[in-house]
Amino acid sequence: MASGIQTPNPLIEGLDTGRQAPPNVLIVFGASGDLTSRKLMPALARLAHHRQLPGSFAVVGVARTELSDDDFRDRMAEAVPNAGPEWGSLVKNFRYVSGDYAEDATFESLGKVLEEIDRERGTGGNRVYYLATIPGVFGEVVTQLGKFGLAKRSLPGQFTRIVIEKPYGRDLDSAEKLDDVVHSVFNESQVYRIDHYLGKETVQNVMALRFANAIFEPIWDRRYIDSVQITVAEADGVGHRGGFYETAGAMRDIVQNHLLQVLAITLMEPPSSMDANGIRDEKVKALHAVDILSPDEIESNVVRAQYASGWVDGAEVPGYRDEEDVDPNSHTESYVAMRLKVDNWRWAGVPIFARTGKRLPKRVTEVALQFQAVPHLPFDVAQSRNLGPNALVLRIQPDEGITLRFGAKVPGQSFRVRTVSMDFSYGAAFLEETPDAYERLLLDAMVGDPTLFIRSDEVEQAWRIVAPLQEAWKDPAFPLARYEAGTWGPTEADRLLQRNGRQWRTP
Amino acid sequence: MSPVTSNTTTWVGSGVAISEVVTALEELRRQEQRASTRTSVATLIMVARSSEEVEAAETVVDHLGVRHPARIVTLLVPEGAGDGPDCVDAEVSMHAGEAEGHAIWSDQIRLTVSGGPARHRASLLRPLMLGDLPVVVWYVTGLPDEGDPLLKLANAVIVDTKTAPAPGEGEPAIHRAFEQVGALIRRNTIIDLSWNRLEPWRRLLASQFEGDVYRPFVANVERVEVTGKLAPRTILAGWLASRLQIGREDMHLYDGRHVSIKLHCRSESESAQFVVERTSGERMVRSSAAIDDGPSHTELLGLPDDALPYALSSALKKLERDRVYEQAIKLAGGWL
Repeated sequence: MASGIQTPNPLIEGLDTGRQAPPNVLIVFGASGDLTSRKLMPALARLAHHRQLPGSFAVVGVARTELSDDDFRDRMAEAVPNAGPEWGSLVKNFRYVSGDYAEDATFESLGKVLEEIDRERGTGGNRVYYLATIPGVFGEVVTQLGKFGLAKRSLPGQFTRIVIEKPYGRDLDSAEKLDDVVHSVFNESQVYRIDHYLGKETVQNVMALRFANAIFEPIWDRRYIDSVQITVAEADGVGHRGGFYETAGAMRDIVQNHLLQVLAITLMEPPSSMDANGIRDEKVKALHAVDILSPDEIESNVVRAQYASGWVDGAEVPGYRDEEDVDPNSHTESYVAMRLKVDNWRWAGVPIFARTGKRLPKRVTEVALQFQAVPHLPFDVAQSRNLGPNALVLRIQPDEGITLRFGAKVPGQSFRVRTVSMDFSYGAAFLEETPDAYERLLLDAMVGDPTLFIRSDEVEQAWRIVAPLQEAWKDPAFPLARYEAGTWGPTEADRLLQRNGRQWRTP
Repeated sequence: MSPVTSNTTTWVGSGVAISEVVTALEELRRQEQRASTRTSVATLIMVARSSEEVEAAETVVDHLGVRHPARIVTLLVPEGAGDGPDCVDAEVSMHAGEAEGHAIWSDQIRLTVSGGPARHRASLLRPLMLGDLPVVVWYVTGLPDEGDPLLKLANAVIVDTKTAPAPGEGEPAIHRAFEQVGALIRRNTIIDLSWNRLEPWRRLLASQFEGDVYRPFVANVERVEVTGKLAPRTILAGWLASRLQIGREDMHLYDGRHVSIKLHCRSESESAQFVVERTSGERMVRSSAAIDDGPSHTELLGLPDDALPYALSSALKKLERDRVYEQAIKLAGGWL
């Protein structure tokens, strides 16, 4: 069969197919798990509906659970019950390999299935492996892929990529060890470490806001900004994930990845281009500029806490230690608040306050930049009593948009100034259908765009930032505050800001 | 949440000046304080020749819901209206819509004109255009003359070559329509709803040649079969001929209710067939690629329930010249 690499496709010209995946097979490890049916399959169904998958495409599920091809197809069809005819047509081609990841037979079978698919469907030897398993087997699967030659590209133009879910390691040491294993089989350019937060349109919109507008970037520094607050709040408790959460806590679950990624995008320098390395280089530089706390700085700059019982959204909820699969004497943090310093020209002296927690009043993620006061206020106290600081709030979820708070004259004969909010709602201005984060990232992995994936050096630097905290918290005597479920966190977190002459925003 | 739209207060005036229409708009907005914040992406001018066309066009726009918040101006110029008495009748209303919890407001203005205002219609519309936003003129049926003054206002002109000739007018009328569009594209960005409706077929066919396995076959297409009604099958034939550099003699066109395309291709000693077809009784397009004694695959794609709002929506999303369309229509026009 002739190679078509040099032959252009004249029919594609003029069609908006820039985001269409090339022929490939998506191999999902952990295919019988929750992530596959809850996130990956709905994302694939949307890609199929939007015609972003190629005709030569197939999915191979791999897991320990004993299933036939038809059982797997039925499960995946049921996972997206309201999908259109495209989904039914796609699922018919799914294949399944059952077996233990430690067993050679599993990977021998996988290799044969992949060859069959290439032969029957013309997928051209292109592979995207997706590790949707528990993190403990990432290394094992990667090693086996290497052992059976499944990570190799046998012809020029073919691609083999691997998508690895978070958490990438449990700490710096384990992340480095996992990297060693991964890099023994795959080049870094083949590795796509996923943090679905980066797939969110509104996180990407932070970059559009900063770098596409002349009015924001000039004031985006220490000369005008008094402080930055980053909030990643969840109203949910740990639910049925108590066992997992006990080993992760808010630090590993949110801070090391989602929160530090949002921080990096907010604080980074403008990249020279929006390509993968342009953006990731600047994110890494921003993370390197974050001052790593010394042991004696931790207690005065970081608060960890656990939720007690309380009321959320009109329902009474148990405290963390009373949750399913949680140790009644657990010291795992469900809340973290911290004050970070960024040692670079742009941000020197601007405190960065970051907080995340479960069982807070509502699910919200936002970045608030509070501006410095004007150098001289020409109004008397009565005229400006209701005037607060200017703020620019980037609302990342759920009500995506931007709020600008500024002072305006209250209509009337007297001269009084009051703070008003001007809201921009992303959903009201752009009524296009917004792709889900997994939909975006799955397609990026197939297309070969690593921009929104995390590079090895980013992961490691993020672990370095949280490492002293992890170390300090090994000591059971380290303070663990409590907060009532349904409140914005412990009073200790309020005091953290009060000591700095500020207070938390109420999102 | 599915988009919801509703009409609020309406102002109606007969024999009015456009300044009164503008004042009425401002007054309506003052009355309805929730409409003080609007989100608009364009001014959409719909040109119709009868009240039936107006109703039909407004129904299509209602189907669009809030996906394209625009100021919508419907201009009804009945046949021969230019010879009638000078008159402008107007109806102004505000539309409230909701999408994903956000209120979306838009203005709708319906003008019925005759006499001098009908002949100088651009002067009526200039004060109603939203500043700094594109102006899109949609000719609900028929095609504009090259001298139509609205063409100078428009950033993009929407037409429909499938419905431009009256039903039953046949090949000469399609020929004239293609020639007319060929002339219009020299000066204006023309968006053809018929071309947009055929996008699923074009995309599926093009995507079949993606990847190293199937790509070589696109370089040697031996026979093309296109089935469908006259206008769509002719545009598709023009597209395939201009893209694949194949002559009229290798192009076989058949009359049919639904559009289908079949390509017979060869690469070295192998032959392959690539088919995209809508089958009767289904709102789906089926595509298949099969290399003889080699790999094959089939795909299904659901079609939107209502093709016209879909085509209009995609037209409004991309207000740009489409060189591929322009080449296709020029070539197809030359064949008829």
